[in-house]
Amino acid sequence: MSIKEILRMVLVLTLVTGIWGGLLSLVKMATQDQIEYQRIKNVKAPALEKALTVEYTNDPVKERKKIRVGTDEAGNPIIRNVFIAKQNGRVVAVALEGYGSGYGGDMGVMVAIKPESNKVDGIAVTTHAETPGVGTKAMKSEAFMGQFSGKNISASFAPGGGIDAHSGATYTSEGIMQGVERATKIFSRNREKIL
Amino acid sequence: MSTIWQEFSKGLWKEVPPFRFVLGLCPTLAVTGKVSSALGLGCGVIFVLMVSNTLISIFKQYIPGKIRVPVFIVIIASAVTIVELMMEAYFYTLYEVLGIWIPLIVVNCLILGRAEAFARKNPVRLAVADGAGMGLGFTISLVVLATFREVIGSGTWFGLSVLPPSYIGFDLVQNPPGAFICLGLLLALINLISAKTESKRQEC
Repeated sequence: MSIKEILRMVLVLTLVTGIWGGLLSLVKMATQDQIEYQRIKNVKAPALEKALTVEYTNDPVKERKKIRVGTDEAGNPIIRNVFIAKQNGRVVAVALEGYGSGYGGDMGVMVAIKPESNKVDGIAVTTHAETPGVGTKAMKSEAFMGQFSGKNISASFAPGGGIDAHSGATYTSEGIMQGVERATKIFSRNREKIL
Repeated sequence: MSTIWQEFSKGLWKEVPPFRFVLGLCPTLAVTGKVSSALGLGCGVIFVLMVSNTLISIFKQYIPGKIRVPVFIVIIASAVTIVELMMEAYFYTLYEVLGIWIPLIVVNCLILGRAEAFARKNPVRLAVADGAGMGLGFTISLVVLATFREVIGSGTWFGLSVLPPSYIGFDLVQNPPGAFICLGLLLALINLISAKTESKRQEC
């Protein structure tokens, strides 16, 4: 094998991988937003629709805002999506996720808030790893999940506050309460940025 | 013109990939539980096969023989990544159903097989025809197999009910062992048909 031959092979492979790599990054950039939209639409939208009980006419997933809620240990900003529900252009509710720790680990709770009255519109669980048939009883219970609706966001939702846990699913109930508490606090702190 | 047609049509019957060469069997067995997913994967394969065949045929004289396989793999893998991104962006539900089988198009022997056996030795127009024909043949095979499995297995076709609602479905056909059984029966059927047509031709 001559040096010339080896150089030619190196050149061809470099060119091929370089050109395709560039092309792929273009495709990635072009599809990025659409992919993020689809992911949220398919993963979060079911919970979002459950949490929003008010009438709205827009697509809250499309009209989402990203807000910075703090920084993690490494100093990177923590970004959360806030979904804005509008009726004829007027904001009727905003929904955002708060995380609490349940029995099986972190659980996400979508909380919809009506900014005009500062009241919780509704809540729904997005992600969880609770025990089926035990912990999941709490998130399926209308009586438990309904307690949050209509409460002022300045109220304490933390465990031991004004919310009664679902009997037999205390850890899960407390995880949900924690999630709601955190979501409402994020909203109060970032009100101007969100609206 | 006739050779273009020849190269295109050979993939549809005479050399139909999964049944004649028994190539690309993993996806053939895995995604044929439903017609919609079979069609989705088939379209992905058509795209990848045409892109790889075209590019390899255009650049065949610049690709040194010793590194042709890595070059083919880079081209194929990139085309597959494009399919994956596009599918995730615009057909998310299909993307979720097909899951791992989209990236695995890269290792589908059919695609590398056509690149190695055909595209690197033939002019562009023939390579395009070959890619289109083989891809279409692969897709049709998948859809035929999926039709069997979906109709018998759950009484639906493309998600629409085609059998009376009292039909409870034949679960075995929907499961992996049923995929093998259906494929075997189809292979037997195709061999039977071609044996018949072959003997007829000899009688004439």
